[in-house]
Amino acid sequence: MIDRILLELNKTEGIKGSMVVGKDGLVIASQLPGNVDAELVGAMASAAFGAAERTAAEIGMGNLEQTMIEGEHGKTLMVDAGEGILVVLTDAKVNLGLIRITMKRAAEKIKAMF
Amino acid sequence: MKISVYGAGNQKLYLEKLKVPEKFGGEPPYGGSRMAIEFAKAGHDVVLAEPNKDIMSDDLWKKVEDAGVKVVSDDIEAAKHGEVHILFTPFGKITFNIVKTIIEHVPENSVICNTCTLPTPVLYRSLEGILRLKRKDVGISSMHPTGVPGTPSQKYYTIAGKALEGKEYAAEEQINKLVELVKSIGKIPYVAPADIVPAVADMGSLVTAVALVGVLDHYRVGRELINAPKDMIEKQILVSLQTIASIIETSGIEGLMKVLDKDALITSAKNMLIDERQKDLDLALKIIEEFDKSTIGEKDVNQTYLVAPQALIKEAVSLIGQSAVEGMIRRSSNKLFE
Repeated sequence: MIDRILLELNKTEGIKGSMVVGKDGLVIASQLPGNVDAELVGAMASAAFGAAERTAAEIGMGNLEQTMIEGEHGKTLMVDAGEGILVVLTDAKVNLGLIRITMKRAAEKIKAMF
Repeated sequence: MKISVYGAGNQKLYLEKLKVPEKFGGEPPYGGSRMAIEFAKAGHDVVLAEPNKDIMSDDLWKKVEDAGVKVVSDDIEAAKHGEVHILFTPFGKITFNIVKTIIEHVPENSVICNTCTLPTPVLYRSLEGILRLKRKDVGISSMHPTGVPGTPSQKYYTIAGKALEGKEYAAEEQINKLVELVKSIGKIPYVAPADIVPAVADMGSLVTAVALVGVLDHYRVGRELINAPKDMIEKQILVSLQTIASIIETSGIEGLMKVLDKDALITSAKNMLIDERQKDLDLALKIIEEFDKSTIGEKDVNQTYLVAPQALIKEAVSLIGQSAVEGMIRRSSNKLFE
């Protein structure tokens, strides 16, 4: 079921792949390109999201909604999905507004499934 | 109660290598098949899954069947039967493969138990994806025989309860079911924190017992004779245990042998031989003195961080949060058992 949401999400222009990991990094569903190590990326996403969450709390920013890692060749976006984190890999130049809205909708559906 | 036992037990090991009848008494079959016999004789409905018929002689198989145990060769058939599933299976990948095969087929609210081949948290983590999503009803625990089933000295079953880390791998009703099962065969149930079961019930209990003697002796000498602060004594114990554990983890026993200078250790430890009650240290010094390092060999020590693990975890939690750290612990622990 979560896989279907990810497959739908992956149809958005600029998205290369997506996954849902538990807050502890356990891969719950993955629709990532074949050359990406889902378990490793899941673990790293959990650590990066956790560090961002702790930083936001420490400096009084409230609950973390989204984290983005911007690289030369692409971006990684992570949004809170309840017990999990929705992780999306994109191309470098993308319509971030559209992707954020699509991710938010997907995250709501995923939250309801946990 | 419906019980499924996986693995009859390696009778060759018990009879020919360990010489169990001569050393510990009892009579074959030992191991999983004996557990199955004892459960069946107590009136339980028992299935024993063993794909390798050659593991026991025909007369031993007859004993199993005469006790009322149904013997099958198919793990899935056993999986569909039990509310309690006991893995008396070989150490390593075989057990992981069996448990991954059976999990989809076990009846609702079943509890799957390891024996001595792998710790309960490791067994849980090998199935975590399924247990957290599809089979939230299935519990994981242990029915560790704490000895060789079939010998008179096997009196306890160590059941894995709530872990020291706070995690419950099985529901209270599932643990209670195991307690009742143990009592029904006239044995003593010992519900221990899941993460300490291997240290107290497994072969490693040898190390635990000997280390505990060192801990208690150091504590007594430090507090009563030297009058040192309790905190200082505890830190000294911690550093010694942590040093040995860390070097074994990175570099094996050979690394430990290389880094510990036998004569220097003996000279130092002799200074702690303060009163006549320290028979443990006296004996330890003699054993170390006579120990021939060449029986183990030596190798260079790999990079090793001697940090207090609990303090490290607290620091990591403060930086990346509880969940991410629990994931790190899970993955690193899995790597330890790969």
